[in-house]
Amino acid sequence: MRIRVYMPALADHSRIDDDGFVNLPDGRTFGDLLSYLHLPFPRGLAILCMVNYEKAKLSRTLADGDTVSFLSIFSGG
Amino acid sequence: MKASMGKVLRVDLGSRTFEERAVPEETYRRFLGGIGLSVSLLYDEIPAGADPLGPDNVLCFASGLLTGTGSVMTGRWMVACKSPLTGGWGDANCGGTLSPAIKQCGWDAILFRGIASEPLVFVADAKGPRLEPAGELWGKDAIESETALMERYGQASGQKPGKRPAVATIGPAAEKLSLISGISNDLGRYAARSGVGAVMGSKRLKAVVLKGNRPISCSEPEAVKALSRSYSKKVRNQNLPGIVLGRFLPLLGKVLGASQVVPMDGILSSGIMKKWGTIYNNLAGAVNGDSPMKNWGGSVAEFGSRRYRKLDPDRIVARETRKYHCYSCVIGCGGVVDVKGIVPGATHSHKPEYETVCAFGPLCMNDDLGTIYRCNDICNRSGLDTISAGTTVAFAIECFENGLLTKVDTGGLELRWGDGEAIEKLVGMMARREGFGDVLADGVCKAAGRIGRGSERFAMNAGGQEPGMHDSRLDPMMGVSFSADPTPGKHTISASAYYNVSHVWEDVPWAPRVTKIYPKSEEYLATDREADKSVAGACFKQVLDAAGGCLFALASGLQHWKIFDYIDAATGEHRGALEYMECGRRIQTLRQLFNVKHGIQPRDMIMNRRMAGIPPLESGSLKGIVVPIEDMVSAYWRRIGWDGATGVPLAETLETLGLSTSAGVDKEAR
Repeated sequence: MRIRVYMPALADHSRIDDDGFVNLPDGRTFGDLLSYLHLPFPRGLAILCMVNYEKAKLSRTLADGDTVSFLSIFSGG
Repeated sequence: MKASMGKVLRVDLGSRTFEERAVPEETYRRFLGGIGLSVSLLYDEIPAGADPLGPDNVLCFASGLLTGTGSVMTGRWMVACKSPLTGGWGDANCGGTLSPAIKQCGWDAILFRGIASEPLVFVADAKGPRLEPAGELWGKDAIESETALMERYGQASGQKPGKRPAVATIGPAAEKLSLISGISNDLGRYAARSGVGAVMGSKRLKAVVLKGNRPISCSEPEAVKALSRSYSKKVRNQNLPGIVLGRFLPLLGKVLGASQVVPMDGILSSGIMKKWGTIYNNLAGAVNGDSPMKNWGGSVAEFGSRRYRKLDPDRIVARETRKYHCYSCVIGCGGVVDVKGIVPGATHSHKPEYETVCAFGPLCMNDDLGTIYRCNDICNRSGLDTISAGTTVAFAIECFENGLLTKVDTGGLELRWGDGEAIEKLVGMMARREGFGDVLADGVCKAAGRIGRGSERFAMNAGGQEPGMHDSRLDPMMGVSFSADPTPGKHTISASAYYNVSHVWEDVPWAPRVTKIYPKSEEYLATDREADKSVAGACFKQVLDAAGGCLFALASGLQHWKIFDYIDAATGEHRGALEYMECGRRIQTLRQLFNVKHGIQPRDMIMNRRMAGIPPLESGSLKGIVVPIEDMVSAYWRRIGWDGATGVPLAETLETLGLSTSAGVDKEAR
């Protein structure tokens, strides 16, 4: 399945393809995805991350086409 | 066209006459509304060489095409004119409640020309449009004036109880024709830029009071509602966990300022906007270099973490007594703060925006929030634009520190970096045009001209306007926008920070895609790709300003806030993203033509060299950076279809856009 992932700058982006997707076997969870991405911060900070714009537990099973986004800010005002 | 009212009102303040005029459908198709409608009208109506403060200038209040259609984040009103600050096209916009009120009175825009013989207030309600004397309000501050007008017109006009009028008014700084004054609504929220307040003051038009109840049409209301529901649900889910505190923002700022740029899902930032509003950037911007410091000549290495941490947004939000939303907004970044004991004579005030905090804070090397609250209050009451006022104070301090000014010039005031008391005193003097304040009251360029002595090198501006508080050495595309937008110096047009979250490429194939990580260094190149990002960003922003949309909706991302789908559904015309982006290019090009018509040389609008890193900063995260701004601006001009050497729109571009024959604009087409 293909999952759209928006990752923080300090993470390992080599695991995301040029269109911003990660390919995972079916049945994998949100927690599995975070492990796969080798994020450089504690898993507790997954609270700053959403699945399809909703809070999600690490045990949530992902589905093809899901979007996983991390908190981001832009400069402006 | 559905979504529009199909008419504008022309008001001649000299003869006190009104003329309602239908707008051809084709004009809406080509220019949409808001800023597009404004430039389509003002290009013809303001003669070349018109004195910006004279009777021939036209001040246009316009609503957005999408305002009132059931769309969300589309409640911004636009005010446009020939700018007395830049001498060219001027515009400013603001949230609040005025945008729907213009339409509810039956018009898409209200245009004021001429000069009244005495102070007047324009009123439109069930009795129709009229002008009434406003002599008793002249001299009162913007908040006092709006309060008085609310009392006068609030319940007494024979309309349904509870319906409050929408009021736009000016303060004493605009009455005194300060070229850095704006127009207030909702008790101190401003359309601040371009000197629009001075134009209103020059016409002796104290206020506009609107209280209509006309319905606003929408072609496919269910489709519009569905778009709004989908977006609103996503925003509703964005709430930061309580453990995310302001003091963590420097870390986020460091990530933003990293050497790699990543694609972002902008809607997640709405949780940040809901919690703090724009002041989230007080700390993040200080760390990553977004916040210009010491009049663009210093860095966070000099300001220091001990000082910038005093500007922690949690300290401001702790004083917040309520949050508020503009019309049709579902984020709600605004707030009212308790200022008892801080601002003499006031109990509450609008929460200062990031721009204000930075302009009176790090830009002047000041870390005292009390000073910032008081300067914010002075500006909100008098009408001074906080960006321009703060920049002008920083300019004066640098002149003083370098011996170009002495206490003899300043009336005994010693101007030193970080001296909050002096900063506050000077802002008050500027608002009243008192003593040395009169020298500064028209912004940095006029002040440099009055002071002389080579002071223009400290006058941070682009094309005569003081820039927004976002460092172009961090975001060179912001520098292109400062320098090449027909309204120079604005920070809300295009920038890499906005482009990367906009996802405009998802609907616009010619817009460069940002779907994978890339080195920040690419942003400093005068390549066609970077120029195309600037062009796409600028055209997209024109569509936004034509629709009445909010920049923070754009920053949510097009995949969430679907402005093109909204326009399709609201108008029923289903012309698609590419045609609307062409409208954006047409609007941008006609704004540039306005400048050409009024004698502006686009190359003269390129920002102060210091803002491009000439000379480079010697410390901080932007140390050593130089932006090839002239090459980047030329590339932008070429890619948008203007002459790469002069910035003048090319004949073939005008033909493609249906704008011109040799004289400029094809009237028949509009």
